[in-house]
Amino acid sequence: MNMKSLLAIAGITATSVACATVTSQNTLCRIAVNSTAKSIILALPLQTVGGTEMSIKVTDLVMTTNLDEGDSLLAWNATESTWDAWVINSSGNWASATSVSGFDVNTSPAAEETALACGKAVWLNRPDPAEGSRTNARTLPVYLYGQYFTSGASTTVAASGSTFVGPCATTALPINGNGGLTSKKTVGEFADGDQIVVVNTGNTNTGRKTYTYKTGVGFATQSYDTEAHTVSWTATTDTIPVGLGFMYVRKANTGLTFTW
Amino acid sequence: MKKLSLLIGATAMAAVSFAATPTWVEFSSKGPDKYADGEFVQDGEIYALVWVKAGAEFEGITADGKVVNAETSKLVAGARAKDRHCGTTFFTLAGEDAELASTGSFAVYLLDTRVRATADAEPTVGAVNTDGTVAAVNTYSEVAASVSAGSAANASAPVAGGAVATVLPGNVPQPVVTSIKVAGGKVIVTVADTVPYVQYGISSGDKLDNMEKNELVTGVNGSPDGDITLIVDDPAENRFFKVIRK
Repeated sequence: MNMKSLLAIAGITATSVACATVTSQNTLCRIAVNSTAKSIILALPLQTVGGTEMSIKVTDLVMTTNLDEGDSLLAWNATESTWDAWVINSSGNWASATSVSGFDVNTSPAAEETALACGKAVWLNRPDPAEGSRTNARTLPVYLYGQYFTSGASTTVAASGSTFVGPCATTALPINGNGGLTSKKTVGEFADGDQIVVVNTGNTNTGRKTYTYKTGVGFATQSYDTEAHTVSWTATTDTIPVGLGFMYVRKANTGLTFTW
Repeated sequence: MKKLSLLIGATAMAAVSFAATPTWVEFSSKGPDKYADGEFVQDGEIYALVWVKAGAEFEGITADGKVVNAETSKLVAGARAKDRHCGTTFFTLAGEDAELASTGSFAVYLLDTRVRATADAEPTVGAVNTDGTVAAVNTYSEVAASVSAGSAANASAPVAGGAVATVLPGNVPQPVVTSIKVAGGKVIVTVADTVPYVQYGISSGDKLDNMEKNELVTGVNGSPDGDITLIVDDPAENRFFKVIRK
């Protein structure tokens, strides 16, 4: 081999070389959601990998790892006033579902392609072994995968009703206090009696925690003094576990917006 | 530092017509030579003879096989490794190279051009472009400890230096992750906008400000069409992933 041609004179035109960045433009994030509840509210805190829209398909977001055939996802379709649904099929993949027990499911085939806005939340149902073919214990985490973002998502809570809210956070989010959920409100005012319902453990209602907004206190839990026979409200120091969403029950007849 | 002999001299070789007294360079290394990571140099690896202008400092070699500063340095010749060393190589400084010996100094660098088709594949020596340039340089290290000038009056001291990371050209695109899948305990990441002369890996960590290079210890070279796939284990303790240069 001609040694000169092996390393031909190179870079003759290069007089200086700028430093290039080869770190990827985007950062991916995996969130392990730990919950033993039969039905949990999953947040949509990440966006489509490689995408720029503040949205993601739930079937891309929720990994099938540790899920079993028959496990289902349900997202409220406000246009159709029904649920868009996906179920783990016998191959272990997400498939569009036309029926899920206990839910009025949208039969539109477009459901599989539906991307939901970051900041929303969906139901994840994992039946008991006796009800389905479950082999994985619900003690194993559910994984969310997507593209990390720092801003640009918001969630609007409907007036006088219930709204699924999915905090866009990659760590547990305090309910009260600086940096917590209450500090994320950018439009509207909390109203006395507003409630946050978080489901984290158990079946049906047993794993639900409800926090009620009390003016001057914040989101609080009630305690009863058995000796003085008095009721008091104490601001909670609880957090919303990472990856979980919650139900916001709005008492006021105006909306509310959280900006993440 | 491995012993390497580098001779510069003048001879009356009649076959060389570009200069009245052509200058030749002889270089070799005793070996066994190793890459910066401690692995023995593979057969076919490239030793590069580099000229640096007198008074200038060598600024390095770019990842796509060029010198950083083409005004003060030059890749003059190369030799392939055999049996873990650089065999005796003679190179005649003819034509436009004839004046190099009198205007600067020479040093020999061992290039690390190893590439992997996949993260698990055994590394192989990288390709050479059709124009003779090296396709990709991961790192390089100086192997010349001293210069034996021999009869050459023009020899000067070798360039100082050691193992240094290659410099990237300014036109390297910033890669973007386009998809992610999880299967069989592996995270499969598709990356676009890569270039062949850069090795890519994945860093990960449980915090954005604490992302160590702890997933893919061996890099995968980019591809001409830009798309590559990186596969890493899916460790429970990690939360953030980012594509990096290895």
